[in-house]
Amino acid sequence: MTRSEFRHLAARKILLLDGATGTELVKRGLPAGVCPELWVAAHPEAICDIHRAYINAGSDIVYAPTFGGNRCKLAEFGLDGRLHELVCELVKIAKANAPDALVFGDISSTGKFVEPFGELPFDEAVAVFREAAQAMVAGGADGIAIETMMDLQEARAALLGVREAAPELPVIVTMTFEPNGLSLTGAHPAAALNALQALGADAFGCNCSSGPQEMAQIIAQLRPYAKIPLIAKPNAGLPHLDRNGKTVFPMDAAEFGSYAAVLADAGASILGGCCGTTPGHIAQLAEAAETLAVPPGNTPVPLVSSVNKFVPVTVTAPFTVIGERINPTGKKAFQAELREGKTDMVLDFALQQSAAGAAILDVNMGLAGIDEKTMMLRSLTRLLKTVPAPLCIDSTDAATVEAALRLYPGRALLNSISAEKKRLTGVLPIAAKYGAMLILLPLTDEGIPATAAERMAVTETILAECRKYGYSEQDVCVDALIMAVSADPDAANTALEFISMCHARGIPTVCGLSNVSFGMPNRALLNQTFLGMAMGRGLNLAIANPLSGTLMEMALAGNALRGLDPKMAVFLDKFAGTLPEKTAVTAEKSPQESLTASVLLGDKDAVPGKVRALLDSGMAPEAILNDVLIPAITEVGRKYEAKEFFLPQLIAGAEAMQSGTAVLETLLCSGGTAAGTKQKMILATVKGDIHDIGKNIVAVVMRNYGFDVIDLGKDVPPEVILDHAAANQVKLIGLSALMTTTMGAMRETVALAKQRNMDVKFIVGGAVVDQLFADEIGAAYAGDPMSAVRCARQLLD
Amino acid sequence: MTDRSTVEHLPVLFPEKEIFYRLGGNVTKTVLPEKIRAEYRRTALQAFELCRPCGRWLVATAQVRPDGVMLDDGFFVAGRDFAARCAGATRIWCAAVTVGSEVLSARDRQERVALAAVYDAVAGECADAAMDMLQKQCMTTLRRNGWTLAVRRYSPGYGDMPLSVQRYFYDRLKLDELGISLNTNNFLIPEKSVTAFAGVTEEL
Repeated sequence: MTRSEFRHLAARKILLLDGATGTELVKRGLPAGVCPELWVAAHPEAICDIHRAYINAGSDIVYAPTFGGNRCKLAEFGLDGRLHELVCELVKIAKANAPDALVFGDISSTGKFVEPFGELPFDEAVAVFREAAQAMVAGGADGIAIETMMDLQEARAALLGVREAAPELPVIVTMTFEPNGLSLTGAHPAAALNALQALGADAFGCNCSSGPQEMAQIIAQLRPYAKIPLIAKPNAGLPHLDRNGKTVFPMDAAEFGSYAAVLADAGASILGGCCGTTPGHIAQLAEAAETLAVPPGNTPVPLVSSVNKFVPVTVTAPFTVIGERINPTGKKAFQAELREGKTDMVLDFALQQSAAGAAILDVNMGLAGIDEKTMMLRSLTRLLKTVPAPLCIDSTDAATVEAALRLYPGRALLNSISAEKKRLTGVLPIAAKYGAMLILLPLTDEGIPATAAERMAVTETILAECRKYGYSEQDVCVDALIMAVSADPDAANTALEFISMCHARGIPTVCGLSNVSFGMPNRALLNQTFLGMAMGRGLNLAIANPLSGTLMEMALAGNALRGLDPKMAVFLDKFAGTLPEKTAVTAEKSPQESLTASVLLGDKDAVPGKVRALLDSGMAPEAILNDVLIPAITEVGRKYEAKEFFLPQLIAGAEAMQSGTAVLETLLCSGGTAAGTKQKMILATVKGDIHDIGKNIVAVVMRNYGFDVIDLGKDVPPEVILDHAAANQVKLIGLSALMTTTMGAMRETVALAKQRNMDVKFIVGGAVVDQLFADEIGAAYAGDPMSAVRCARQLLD
Repeated sequence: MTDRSTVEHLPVLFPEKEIFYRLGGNVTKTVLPEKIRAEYRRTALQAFELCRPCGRWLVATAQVRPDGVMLDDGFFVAGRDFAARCAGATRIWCAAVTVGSEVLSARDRQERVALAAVYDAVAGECADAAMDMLQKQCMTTLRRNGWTLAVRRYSPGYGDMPLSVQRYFYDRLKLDELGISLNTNNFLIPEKSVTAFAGVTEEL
């Protein structure tokens, strides 16, 4: 069957897939622990029986029993060397038995995670699936089903592998999604659909995961973005254990069948069943589907997407900023870092820009003297693990573009395709293979067209070339080619006219905003003014610096004013409640207030200087300690207890306080004016326990609340703790333990102190310790650092 | 299926919310000034990049008794709570994950305890996320056999399961091959390593 034939078939009727195969094989004798593929090859009657039952029930397509027929899975049974023979044979068995249905080769996970997130190199994963697909083609498969994929990157590798082995066969892909609505590795269903349909999947959907009701919700999420048929292959409900401890899928065949209409309403036109379903379930589904029409197609919203974020690129979408900072041009420190092969600044730029509101990040590694491809891959690998925003691959080098698009687990934006011959013949076919969305750059080998009309004509030429590779206006945006007004006073007007023409033509536009002001003073003003004008003409995206607050605010305001921010929700969320500018101006802080603020901010480096400044101004050390630092750390503690601060703020506040008291310490001691003798206490993580971070945190906080802490470390035996207490005349001991099994050492320590008749009190704490246990062993309980402070004060008062 | 399966790299997602909660953060109450938020996030991501989550698991046939569970190699896991949790199970899933030692070494090198606390929280949450991911992957894989892996896990050192059971995990899963060692007190090292049992029931 060809892809075109499959498309026509899927447009004509609701297609029925099969139901569960694994459990049906178990019913027919498949023992635990054997290779299912090998067992089926030896017992072909089992799969023939199952397939006949499904075909009789109404299945149009049945899956060959090749679920684990890949090199990685077969290697677990020492059968990887027999892959081709086994998989080919299994498809042949299924084909011979099903003359009245289509047989799709079945491909599923290798059980490994694929780079850049996992250990399996991407190209190796592609090769694994290509090899499996080749065997399926040899066996005569009518198409290939990639199913039960938990990871988008592995699904991409499988699809690429299959496409390389069987470019003309239809390939359908289904993934599993967790109850949180995402795949195991965090892919959003719409982002997965977007990446895979761009890569050439002929249908996409969901299998296993859940029952039909829950799956209908996932299908409904996909529908606005789907240009290919959607598949629903749910379980027979969510499993539970019965009285005998057996797993039971609750949905009987009739109830399962009743969901056919719900799934079709949600947008699914290919239906089947997964775990817990039987031929009876498929029969009911088929009966219900007979009365259903294929859901009508829609105009899908074009997206660029990462694994779990997607950004619409249309003339009606909100204006979007593409962060421009990951580009070495004009950045000496960044250039130096790239030349050393490092990518720390790549990550910094990405985090800063994302935090500032850039929805897409441009990545450009074009720098003389570096290996662009290597640095692009290194940067992508780092960004993909840490930054969710979709990326724009910005390169003119075909090898770099291919490597980046191959690895990128989403649908990237490619910057850019021009009418230059080298780009059309060298880069465009690569972009098409991986389904990237394109930025079209209307320039030719002769240069930049002078007028807007000429630029439009070049755009049409590029579009015509793109169509040859399956692209349409829905898959591109056009660079408005903004030139510097310092070189051509009419440059801005030409660009604005061109933006208007593209907008009228229904093609989104993008621009490199800062080009307009090159060579001029007050570039920010020119950039912002031009942005306002261009948004008025319909500009959709700009490659710009999102760290410019004014620019980002203009983008929000522009979207609100143009009706692109429904109910102005984004604008109001950002600005509602903001004080008018003149009342927002705050009075200058006094030196004491400034010191207090630094402690509250945990600014350890600023505090000593501010303490010294107060001393220089004549403030007494005792006053600085008692009237500024202690109230400040008390406020830090109050905020922590009120949950206004989290733990790092509490600790940072304590560390800042410590840096201030260090300045005062000698003065307080030498003048004999110490604010009071510090109370001693011992802290220790008990014998057998090696976890001491909690104890260390308590130590820092206690010290800053005036305690002289003797920290004995971790894994400290009871006798050592008590010997130190006796030697140092300590009356309070704090014990920490993380495990239930080491709590016993707390009991031992308290008991030994009683045995020795020592006059000491204990505070206990740690993840597994509670008030009940503390009461039981005769200690006080502290659940966090601040309650340890309070508790210690009470015990020593 | 009794052979060990290894996942050399579990691609856990940056567990940002969980880290924030672990550090005492509260979504509605905690106020982070921009500078602190940026520094905290940067530190957390630095720590996250140093986590190397990997895992290993197997499914062993088992007999559940009132006072514990007898595994196929004759090892008896004593514990009534554990046995009760495994009621109906015919097999036991045994798993271990670790985030490796790099992130913990970096934590111990931090001069500021505030940053060390962030590293510690990131490593801890990544270990938990790695175990969650391994378990979910196994759930889907095992479901094809008509087996259901329980959601509820059980780990040594919690409830009535003694920490000494770590030795069993260590030996059976050959955890030394994952870079994990066991000290004389039965603590796994690196410390952000987690082991767990869970029951496996059958559909058929």
